[in-house]
Amino acid sequence: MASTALPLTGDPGASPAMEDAPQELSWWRDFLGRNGARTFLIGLFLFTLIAGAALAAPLITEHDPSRNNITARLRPPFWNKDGGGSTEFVLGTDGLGRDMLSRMLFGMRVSLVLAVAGLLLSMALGVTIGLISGLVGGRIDMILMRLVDLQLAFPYIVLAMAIVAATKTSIGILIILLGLAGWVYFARVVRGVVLQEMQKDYVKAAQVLGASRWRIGLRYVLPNVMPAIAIIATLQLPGLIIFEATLSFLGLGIQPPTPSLGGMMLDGSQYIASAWWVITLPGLAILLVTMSLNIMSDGLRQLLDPRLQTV
Amino acid sequence: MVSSLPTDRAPALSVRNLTTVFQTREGVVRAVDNLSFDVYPGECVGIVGESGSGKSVASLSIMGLIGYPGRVDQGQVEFGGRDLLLLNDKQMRSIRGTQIGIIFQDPLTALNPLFTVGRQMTDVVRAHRKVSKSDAAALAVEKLRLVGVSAPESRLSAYPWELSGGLRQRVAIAMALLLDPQLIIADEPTTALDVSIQAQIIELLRSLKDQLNFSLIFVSHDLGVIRSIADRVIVMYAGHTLETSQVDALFQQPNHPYTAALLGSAPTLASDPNQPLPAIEGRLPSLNNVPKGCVFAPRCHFSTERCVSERPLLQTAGQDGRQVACFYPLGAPVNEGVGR
Amino acid sequence: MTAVAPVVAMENVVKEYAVRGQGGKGTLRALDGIDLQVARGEIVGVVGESGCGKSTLAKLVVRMESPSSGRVLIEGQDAAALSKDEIRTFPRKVQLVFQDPYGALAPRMTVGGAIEDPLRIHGIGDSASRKAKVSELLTLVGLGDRLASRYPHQLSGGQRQRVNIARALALEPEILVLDEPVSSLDVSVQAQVLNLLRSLQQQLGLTYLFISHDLRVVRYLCQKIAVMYLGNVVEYGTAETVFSRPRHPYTLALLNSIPDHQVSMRDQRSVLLRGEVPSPIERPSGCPFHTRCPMAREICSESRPMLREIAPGQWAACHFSEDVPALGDQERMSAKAP
Repeated sequence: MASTALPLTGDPGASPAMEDAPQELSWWRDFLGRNGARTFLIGLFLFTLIAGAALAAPLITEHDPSRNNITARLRPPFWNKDGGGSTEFVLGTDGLGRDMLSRMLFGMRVSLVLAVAGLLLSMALGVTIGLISGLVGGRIDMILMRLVDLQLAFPYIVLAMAIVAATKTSIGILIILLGLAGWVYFARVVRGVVLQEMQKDYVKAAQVLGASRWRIGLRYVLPNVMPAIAIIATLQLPGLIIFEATLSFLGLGIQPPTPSLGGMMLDGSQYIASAWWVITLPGLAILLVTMSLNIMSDGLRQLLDPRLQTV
Repeated sequence: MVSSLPTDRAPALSVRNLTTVFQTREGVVRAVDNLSFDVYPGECVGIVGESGSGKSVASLSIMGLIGYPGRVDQGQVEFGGRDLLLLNDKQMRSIRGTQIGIIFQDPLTALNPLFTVGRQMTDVVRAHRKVSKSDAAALAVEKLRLVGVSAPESRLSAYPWELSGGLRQRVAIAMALLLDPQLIIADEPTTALDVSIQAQIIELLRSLKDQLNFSLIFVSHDLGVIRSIADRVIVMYAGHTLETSQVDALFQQPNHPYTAALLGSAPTLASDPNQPLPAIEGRLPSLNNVPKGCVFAPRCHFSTERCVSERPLLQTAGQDGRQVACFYPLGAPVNEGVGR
Repeated sequence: MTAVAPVVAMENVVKEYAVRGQGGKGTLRALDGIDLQVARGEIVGVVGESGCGKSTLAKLVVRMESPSSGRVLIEGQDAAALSKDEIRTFPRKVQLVFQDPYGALAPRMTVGGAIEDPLRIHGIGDSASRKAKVSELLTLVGLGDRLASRYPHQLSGGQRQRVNIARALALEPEILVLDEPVSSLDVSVQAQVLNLLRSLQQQLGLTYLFISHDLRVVRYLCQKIAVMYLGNVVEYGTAETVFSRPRHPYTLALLNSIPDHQVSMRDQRSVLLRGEVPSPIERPSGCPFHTRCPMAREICSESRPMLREIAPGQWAACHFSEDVPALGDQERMSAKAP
């Protein structure tokens, strides 16, 4: 090496003097010492807690989220004893006397399943299109990227509303809508990373070795795109959760009586002056889950950015 | 060429027990360990070493340019009657601008791409001296002419990226010389240049030094470059000083086995193409895991149990301030008995 | 230039790139009519400063680029006119080792995976025999096969370059193009890799095209030398003749520019090459070197000298080759300067 590399552990390639650092001795301690590791773990912990509760909903609550109970309408949460709150309905009930907690847990479940399904769809779509765009280039790249621009320029929610209005709302349509909402970000970033990686010597070396374009794309380049994909996925998921909630709030998403967080807020909006919890609690739930994912994504971004891994 | 140490004069710069450490995930590493040397007026001290030897960290430490996660752990850097390590950022900046000039490997990093050469040079002058813009520009032209830039007036309006590599390095040298510093620190200033340009720059620095009588600390990994410019040489390895000597004595008769092995392993035009190069086996030590005894012992042809268990200190060997950190210093010339 | 049938032959090869700079569109002529032949089992060094076209030359030989005009013949076959099958098997004839050993390895692929992949691409052997081949190759380049499961970032610079060499040898090519393979390595490690390259060449009977800016390294490793300047070969011959009695003023100047650690500062030559390499977009007329040449006369800016045999086995492209002074005799050279 021409210049003396500073003894930093950041770029492992920079300094031959750092070779043979003790490996796999304590990867956990090593991991914790990295920038962003703690942030990532806090986010992951929060999200696991919420998602776990949602998935285990039937075990946590014995109330049927869809069962009306006119005698127990608009009960406040348990701490408001004066207003009639009790531990029977821990977080109170809504306008039809349905248990808020179980509705929120089941609603979260629906929201998460929809958002994750949409995320997987947009990831598959976006990564494939981004890879093709970056690897093939030329006219195909241009067409695909103009398509991306088009979608970004157009207010997607309007398009989504038009589609839902024209068809009948179904889980399938919703997943497709969510999938189409997120693919552009994947496509753009994947294409960018692919173009950047294609300039590197290891890709040229693979070409000289006789590797085909697709082999280079899948075996050599794609593994280096993974970190970027992981970061966008954690960034996109909260967006999709909110998007789904928005559609449901507008009455275009999940149809009652199936509980959904957006739908609950729609129901609660008429009691906003008299029973604050019916609209506030599902809103808080959305806030919590998106926040946990954003914290996770922030940590992940730091973890996977080699420039931030200097110490 | 300075044939003997000008000990009757006071050194321009005096470094004592300089130790710079870096905080890493694996713990604290010592990038420079207990470095001491003097630079006399008009003298060029070369610091030579491979990656991780600490030669660049040493020069950055002297300039007060070590940032997190590194820090100077101990030592003194005496310059102009003051210890530079005790100065605050502002005082240090003022010294760097006026009394110590700096030349880096890549002149593009030292020059701001957004401003013209003239603007940057006059800014430096006016930051430290109360002179008019036109006087500052005149000074810039004078220094550009000094470093052999043709048509210096017209270069003032050029942007750094419009200049060729060699010209850029000349401009960087002119910037370093602007306020007539007593000391120039050059960190691999010719490494990024082609050989013919490198030769020009070395020749330039050599003649400027004789003409202006500044002191020069020249950091390089290239033994040939060091021999062609330095009066005295410090050989560093894994943060440690292994040998320091007058230049010709060092190259004619290296005392430390590492110096000898390094000289032997670098091909020259005179190397016999039919013989394998006497390479140094093994690899550079990791700073996380510096050997307990002599840092070179694991790769040394002559190492004994003592070398492995005990660290040899830098000790005077012969005249002219020669020092070597080895229990069994060599007396033989380069070509004999070196390498496996 | 050589009596034996060449394995690599370049015939009047020109490579141009369209560029768009501050001054509008232009043509960058990276190679300006290269004739070069490499015989089987030879080590030919290509030296020159940045922008001389040596890396472009390497790209043409491995078919990363194709010439604008002229022909590149590999084992007698025009590299630009291969059938589909020949294109597929071409990598088994010629391989390339890059300058930056870290950048040339995919960061998320293990050492073993990297060396095995060329074998998979070309459908060589089954999984077990490929694994055996990988460990054989690792041993060949002086690494243990326990390194097969490591990732590039876990290796030292020297080890990485050994892995690159092993990968290039996986397809058992006859020709290895080495583009500055040791210039990013530390001195002590550089010697190890140079020794390895030499012993591999002898052991396997390889042909090397060794690209470098470092004349000291080229002198040590190569049998033949081609000195390039601004897209032209200005001197060619055996290493011994070229380095002991250069016949082109540029070669002489380069040799004089090398800082030599065996020569004291007092004895170092002081005649330097003036100025810098002209832009390959606006090439000088006549001899490309005349703008910097201390020997240049009027004719040099008018007519371009062709490579001609000055002494047995030594070619130079200079009108005044016979007048180029011997090494260490620069006074004569500078005296001729106008």
